[in-house]
Amino acid sequence: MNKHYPLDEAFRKKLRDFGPEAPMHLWEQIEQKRNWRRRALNKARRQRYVLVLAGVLLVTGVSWLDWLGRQQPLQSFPIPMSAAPVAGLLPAEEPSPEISPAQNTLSLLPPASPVSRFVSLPPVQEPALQPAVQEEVSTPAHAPSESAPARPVYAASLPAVRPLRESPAPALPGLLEQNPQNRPGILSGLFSPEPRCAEFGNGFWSFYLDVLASPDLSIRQMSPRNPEYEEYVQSRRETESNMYAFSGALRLSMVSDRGVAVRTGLNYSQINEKFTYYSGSEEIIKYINRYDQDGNVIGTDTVVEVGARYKVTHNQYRMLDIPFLLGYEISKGKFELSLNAGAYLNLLFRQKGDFLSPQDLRPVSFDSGDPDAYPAFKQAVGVGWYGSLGLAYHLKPRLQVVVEPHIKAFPKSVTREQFAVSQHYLTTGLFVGLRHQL
Amino acid sequence: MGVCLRYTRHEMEAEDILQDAFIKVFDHIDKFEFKGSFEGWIRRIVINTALKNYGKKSFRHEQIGLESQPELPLEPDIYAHLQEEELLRLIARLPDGYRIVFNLYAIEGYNHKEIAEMLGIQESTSRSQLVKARKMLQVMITDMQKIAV
Repeated sequence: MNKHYPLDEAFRKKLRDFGPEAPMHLWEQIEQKRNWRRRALNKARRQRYVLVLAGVLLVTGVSWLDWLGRQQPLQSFPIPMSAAPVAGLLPAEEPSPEISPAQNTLSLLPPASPVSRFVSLPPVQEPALQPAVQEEVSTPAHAPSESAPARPVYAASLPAVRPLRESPAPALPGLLEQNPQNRPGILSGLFSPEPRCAEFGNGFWSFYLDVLASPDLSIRQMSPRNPEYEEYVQSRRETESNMYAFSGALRLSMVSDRGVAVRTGLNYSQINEKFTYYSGSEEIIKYINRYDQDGNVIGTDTVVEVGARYKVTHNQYRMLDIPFLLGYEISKGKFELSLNAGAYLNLLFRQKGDFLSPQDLRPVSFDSGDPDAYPAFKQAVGVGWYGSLGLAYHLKPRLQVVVEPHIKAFPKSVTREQFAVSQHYLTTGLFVGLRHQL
Repeated sequence: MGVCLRYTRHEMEAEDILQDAFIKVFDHIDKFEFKGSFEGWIRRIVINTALKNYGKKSFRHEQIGLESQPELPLEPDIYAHLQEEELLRLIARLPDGYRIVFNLYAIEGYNHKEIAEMLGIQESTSRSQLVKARKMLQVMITDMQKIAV
């Protein structure tokens, strides 16, 4: 330290040990903060990266287990319900030892055969049908046996679990004869591979990108931290009013085929309020000289203008959040209904505007970007809660329009703990946007 | 509380820092090794908490033009008339970077190398901030004297 510098010396001597008493409420707040919950939260905060990693691992693990549970061995792949019409094509008197009702599998075929869903069918007798049938014929799984040398093998969609022998054999060939124009459609329905078959092995999660915007309605709650600030809160309520609010979101959704959805992304929201301060009436006195033709002053008029003076400021509160949402989706035709809930982690909270000072009820400015402005608000407001009900409509196979009424609340006050009042926001709105399947 | 007031512009900000600092003190009191004074340990925690409030940006928004001003010769006894509260107000009017370096150097007694390490800045930056802080304080004190006269 430069002890020879008189300015340094003077400041050091006077300020080194100068310390006004800390206010009593500060110690009470320290005591409150040091309770067990606070300490637990502190520990969680210190280990937040570990917790996030554990959460990601948990979600990944659950997804993996879910995926594994759906990986069924091919030899036990269930016969779908649509096998019933296929049974109809089999002659009733012909034994079908290849069908095992107990296991719902075609046990005659080799267990490891990748074409275990092929069914041997008798040849259709009608000559006119033959070309149409042949269009639907898939690659034979094995060479025809000697007992049925002309028997072709058809690929069929077989998701049913009922024994084929139980179904009486309707005269479907006869029906086909009566309605020849229907043959290709019927056969196509019978023998085309089930759509889900094509998705088999692609995983069970679909990924979506949502772009959403919402007009919002914000509800502000203010309460004094000390009874002496009741009047201040009342004055704030009288001088500040809601204007409008809105939000926009870019969201990535991961939806399992069971309907479970995990969503995250970025959410920007803005609340606009109006601060109106009546600063009393103002009197403006103007003196206007009157001149003659030569430019000489011949008199003076005094004009007094009286009016009310208001200070009006548009206050802005802006938030940038990361949503962590869990949802459940139900499909019905072209519509999808989803229920979502989760947490919003606030990254940034920025604000700018004017309000009444708690000290003298005079207007002061607050601005998160200006260190000289009144330091009333936090820079981040922690974790908020979010809930929504979404409705999506398929415009195209991979594009949906989404409407999502939502509600969001931050339980923690947006003001600093030393500030006279606690201020909370609850926001509700209607997200409208597009969802694109990736 | 006095330490906090010296590093901040507003009393509320100082209370925030004091609160955070004392929560740290209570949380880590078992780590005090009784090697130095307890008061010094607490003071260090309070200073570190205050410094956390200010990033390197505090040292970028420097006021320019003060380098060219000559140092004002002030009577040594001029400081004797200044009260502690007045000195605090003068420090609070300094830009963040000036205020922090002046506090650390002139009042706490750290040298420029230590300050540079603590704040993650160059030693030369610390020196220039201190010079500018002194000049600005001198200007403010001179103005106060003029008003008083």
